[in-house]
Amino acid sequence: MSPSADLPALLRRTPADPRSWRSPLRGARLTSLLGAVLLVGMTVVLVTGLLSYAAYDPQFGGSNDQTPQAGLLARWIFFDWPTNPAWIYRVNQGTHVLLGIALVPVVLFKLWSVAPRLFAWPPVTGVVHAIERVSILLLVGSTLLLIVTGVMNIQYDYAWGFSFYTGHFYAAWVFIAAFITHVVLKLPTMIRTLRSGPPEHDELAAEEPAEQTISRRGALAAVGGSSLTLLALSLGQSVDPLRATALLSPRGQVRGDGPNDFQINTTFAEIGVDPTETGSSWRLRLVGPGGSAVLDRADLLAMELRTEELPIACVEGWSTSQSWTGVRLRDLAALVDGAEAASVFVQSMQRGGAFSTMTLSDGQLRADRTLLALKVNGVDLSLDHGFPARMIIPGAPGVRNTKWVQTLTFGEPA
Amino acid sequence: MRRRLPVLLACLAVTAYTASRLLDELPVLTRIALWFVAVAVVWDLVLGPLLALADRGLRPLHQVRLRGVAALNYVRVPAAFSALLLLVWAPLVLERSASTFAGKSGLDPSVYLGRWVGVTAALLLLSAAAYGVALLRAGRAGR
Repeated sequence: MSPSADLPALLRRTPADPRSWRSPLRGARLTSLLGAVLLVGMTVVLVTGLLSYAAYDPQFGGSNDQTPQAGLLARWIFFDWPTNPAWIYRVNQGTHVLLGIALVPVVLFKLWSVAPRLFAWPPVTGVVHAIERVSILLLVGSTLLLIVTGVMNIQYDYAWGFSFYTGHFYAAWVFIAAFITHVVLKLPTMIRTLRSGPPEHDELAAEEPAEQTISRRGALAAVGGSSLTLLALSLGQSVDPLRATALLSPRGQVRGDGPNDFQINTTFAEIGVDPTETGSSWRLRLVGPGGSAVLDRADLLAMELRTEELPIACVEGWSTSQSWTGVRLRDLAALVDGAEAASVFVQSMQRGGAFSTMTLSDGQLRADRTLLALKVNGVDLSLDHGFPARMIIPGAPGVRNTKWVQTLTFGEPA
Repeated sequence: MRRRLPVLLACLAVTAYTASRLLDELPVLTRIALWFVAVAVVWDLVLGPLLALADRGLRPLHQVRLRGVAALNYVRVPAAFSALLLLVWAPLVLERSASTFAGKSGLDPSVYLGRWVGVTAALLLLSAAAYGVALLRAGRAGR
């Protein structure tokens, strides 16, 4: 019996009528193939997203924690973010953002492939079915909201009226619940379809298919090709030699070939740094268990300087690797007996922004390559890159590398 | 399937807990909930159907055939790629946040419209070339 047989007359030829869905491409096989791609792809995006959340070390509170109400949703972070390998956040976040963007056409095609279900009549057949439909709304709403907030955030389009961190984080937890639910309920169908073909009565297939204008293989190739096109036009934002190829990406413009001409997260003018305060009057203040100390830039340059090749890797997905020269953080800590501190509180001169202070872990304090950088690529930092001094922490998200550092407070030993 | 109900209830429970964390900030929760529903509605009931309609508008091209090769997909595929690129990069292309973008990155916000047009032109050219190759093949096969 065809599903359209018991349709009320009023609904004939509306989207509730299966006969109004005529694409010959739809069917369990197409939906299962797209589902398999998303099962793997979205899992990677989800895991890298959770890791990125942990990479801020929110357990220290303050600016580290952009979702202080999270409760149990953040209680799983039982580790401090590692400093080794130094590229860990660069790879994590490049994967999260680039793969997330590349999956957009797959998500949209998947939604298209099951669109008849949205309008199916009757809309609800029982209590369990009603709850299942709610779970599908949660899945679709959270997936699209994660894509929309993520994609808008990396382009600085903050039209939502809530913080990106709040919206993306809570939507992610709804997604986790709905995604796992969907996988548990549908995985057997997906595997069966991919193994032994679509069921005899394929609910997703058109009852009255229209003439075929593109093969299923052709359509899948087009979706895959559009993913690769998105990827190709953005990849360069995370790979320095390919920068100029990232034509459609927020960090695909080459700034120049000078030592300070690499990508900037926030310019000094935007964040409210007064350039007159960065000159000869600038002092670095150290506070620790052994008292306090005040150093000017010449004092710092007279200390033992280290040069390290380390990445700046933004939560927005772009990254760049540069050669930084500065003083090891733990050498500064030693000046105020803070080498055994359990944490370090970093304060910037910047007036604005949600990240004018940061708390670093003891692992980050003691890491061999954590620097208070004074120079980059052999010359003084530019004002936009944090002159007179900025933090460089191996493996940490870009925003953790506080610019225009003014005060470092080393806490009590743990 | 017997395990359906417990799994669905667990899903609702996690969602309820997640939402409850924001009860102290009701305006934020409300806005997130509105966006949550709005993105699903806009895609399912507005943008998706509009794109399907646009695709149907191209359908007559299926009858436009040179040497038996339909022109449809050689227009449809680059057009879909271009629409997707615009959908993803609309804030940059339409300069919705030009001053914030310039302030944050120090880069020129005005380049993206031209880049999107350029990429679209390149996609159409590539597709035209592919159509040319298909025509040559069809001609050779017909001889």
